[in-house]
Amino acid sequence: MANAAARYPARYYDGRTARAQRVEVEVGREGLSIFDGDGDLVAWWPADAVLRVEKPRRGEPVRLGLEGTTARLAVEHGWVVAALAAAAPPAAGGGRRMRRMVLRTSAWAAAAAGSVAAVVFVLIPLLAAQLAAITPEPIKQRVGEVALPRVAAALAYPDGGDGQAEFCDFRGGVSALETLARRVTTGLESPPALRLVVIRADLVNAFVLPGGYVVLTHGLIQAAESPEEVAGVLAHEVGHVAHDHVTEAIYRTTAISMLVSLLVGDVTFGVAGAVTELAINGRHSREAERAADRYAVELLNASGIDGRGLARFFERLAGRAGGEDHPLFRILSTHPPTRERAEEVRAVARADGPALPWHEWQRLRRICRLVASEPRLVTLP
Amino acid sequence: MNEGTPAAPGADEPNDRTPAAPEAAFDGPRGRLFRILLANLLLNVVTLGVYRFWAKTRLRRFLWRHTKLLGEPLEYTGTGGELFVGFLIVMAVLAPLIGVASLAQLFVEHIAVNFIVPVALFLLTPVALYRMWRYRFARTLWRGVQFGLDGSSLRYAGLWLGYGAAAILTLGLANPWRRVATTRYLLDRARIGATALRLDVRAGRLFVPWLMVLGLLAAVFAVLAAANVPTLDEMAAIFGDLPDLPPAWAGRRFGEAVAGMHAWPLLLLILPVIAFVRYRAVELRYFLDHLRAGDAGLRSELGTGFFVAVHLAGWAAALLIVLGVPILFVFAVAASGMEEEVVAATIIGLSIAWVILYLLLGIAYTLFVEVTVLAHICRTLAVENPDALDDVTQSPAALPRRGEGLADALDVGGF
Repeated sequence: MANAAARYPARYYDGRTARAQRVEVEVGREGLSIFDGDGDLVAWWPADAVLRVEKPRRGEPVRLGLEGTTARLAVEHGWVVAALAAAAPPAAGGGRRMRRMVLRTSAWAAAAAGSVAAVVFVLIPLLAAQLAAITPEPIKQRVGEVALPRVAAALAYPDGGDGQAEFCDFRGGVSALETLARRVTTGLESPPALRLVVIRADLVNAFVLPGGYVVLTHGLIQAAESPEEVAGVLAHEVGHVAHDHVTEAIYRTTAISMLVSLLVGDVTFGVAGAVTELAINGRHSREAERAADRYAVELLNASGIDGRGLARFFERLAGRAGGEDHPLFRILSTHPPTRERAEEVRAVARADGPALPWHEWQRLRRICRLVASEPRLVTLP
Repeated sequence: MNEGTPAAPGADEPNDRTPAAPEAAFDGPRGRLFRILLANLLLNVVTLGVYRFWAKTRLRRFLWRHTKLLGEPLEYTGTGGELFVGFLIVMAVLAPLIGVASLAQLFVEHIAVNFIVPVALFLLTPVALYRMWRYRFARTLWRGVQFGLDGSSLRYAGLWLGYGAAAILTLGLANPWRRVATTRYLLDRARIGATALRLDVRAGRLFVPWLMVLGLLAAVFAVLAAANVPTLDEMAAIFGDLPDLPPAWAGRRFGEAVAGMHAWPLLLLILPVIAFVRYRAVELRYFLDHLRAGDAGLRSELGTGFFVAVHLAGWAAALLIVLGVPILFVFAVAASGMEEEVVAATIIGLSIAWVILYLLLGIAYTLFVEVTVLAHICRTLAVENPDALDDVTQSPAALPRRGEGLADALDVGGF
């Protein structure tokens, strides 16, 4: 215990001028008394307002401050800390303040994390859906029109390179595609506006762009073993168009990647943003695929086309791709497991009519015998 | 590197053990700084970067408190929370703008649309810089008196962009005027308490050191060109007066000619680099030497040779590690003839190791280059007429409430 009456030499800055005053400090039960060279009291600091400016270090003066001001005291003698603690144990030093600050900071951090999660998982998806619904049709069409050649080129040359996209243009095949599309949509009272096109790419793929663009690859048509399989894929894509999943996904992806990259800064080299985006998009995308599957089977049933074609197509895909059951793959994948989808489709498919007559199917398979650099669109209705 | 030299506390004690404190000093122990930097790095990674506001605060508190002027340390009074809130505010403003611009890229197929965001961010850079300095000044306390920065960040941005354009248009000749105009604008509006700082410098004094940089740069390119002047025969071989050759052949020969050029003069680029670092040292000394606050002023004896040596040694070591480690590894793999799977696994492992090394390199750079230079700057600083500083009074000006959000969003300002 330090002697309560001891006076410690110190330098005092009153917070009004930069002048250093040689003073002596006395630690009392209620606070610090600061005396000048003549022994006159120049300031009194209440104990519960005394701050330790920084952690004391051996060989350095102890720096104290008065809360709410810039007044500072540099006490040469380290014992002042012990004296302060002894004189006014609960408030001196600011351990309580520290705890309060840590608590408050953690609370804010938790709140910030919560609100970011709410924005990413709830608000952005909702807003994206709303925005997609109110985006005018001409703008969507324009986006689809601009994106089509780029996406087609990227698919045709998956290894990069800047080749031009090639659109299949064999007249007989294009008219067979139109017949097939009309056949598929007979079950709809008011089918959505569709723009169908086949691109020359070996990948097995089909996708939708804003504005009703439905793109099939030549690889997909070659991989299909019956017109019902292509009809199933087409019905599935019509489902995406009807729900406008793609416009929604564009809004959602843009918003989330922007938010995450801003929040995280550049510490993780952009990895965090990409992974979050993939995980969140994957979830939404899998839901969208299921919705499109359900839509497809109902449409095929209504149009009298054998829905088992779609199931067979999925089963063939599942036979090709391995490793789908890995948990990480399931989280990040944009599509649900293919076998599951096949089973679900098979369970509800009821109709058993053909999709195309045999000779039309043969023409459709040859649709890429001629190609053009401009898309040859089949426009419905 | 320069271990054990300047910044180690107490290294100069035999000379400086006078009763009066040195006029300026940086005495931060490297061990403690290393622990702070390492903890900051780990916490940044764990929190996906959200900790960076508190990390910066911790680092600044350390740097400020160990920078001593007339024996009394600076005190950094900023908090991580302020930086974080500033960041959130800027994000709330910037995010929708960036969002709209990104969406515009989808709708408008014009190349100019792709540049909207980068150009807007570039134009905001000087605004961010000025606001960042305003915050740092306002959060600096010395002898119980607050620093401050008045002036307008938009005016500063006007100078920054205008003189920047002038420097480009004059092929770099106007650069000293750019540096002086922007630095003067900032420091003339800075103050300790109510006492304004004044930077009394003229760009003409910096012109000769800067001319050396440009001159050496021009000389290197002249040597490069001279070493590669083709003979008439070579010209004929490249462009050939053989009209029956298809153009693609001529193109291939041109490529061969380029590949066969003498590249060694590029190594001479080290000379303008040295001249550039020296220019920065001369400029820093000149600025420090002419900075005044009321009747008090600074005197700097900064050693330009020391400044250049520390930076070059640091860069050379960094380059050696960043390039040397992967090259060594490639040779090791080539020599050992491992199986493919083993090689793939090793490459992944080493890539991770390389990223960690890269991050640690940043810490080492701060420890051995930046801190060494900071300590040298302080050690060579003297205060002229220090008693005048006693008359400095606190300014009644209000402090900014929030910190640096824009600077963080644009990633300017270093620490």
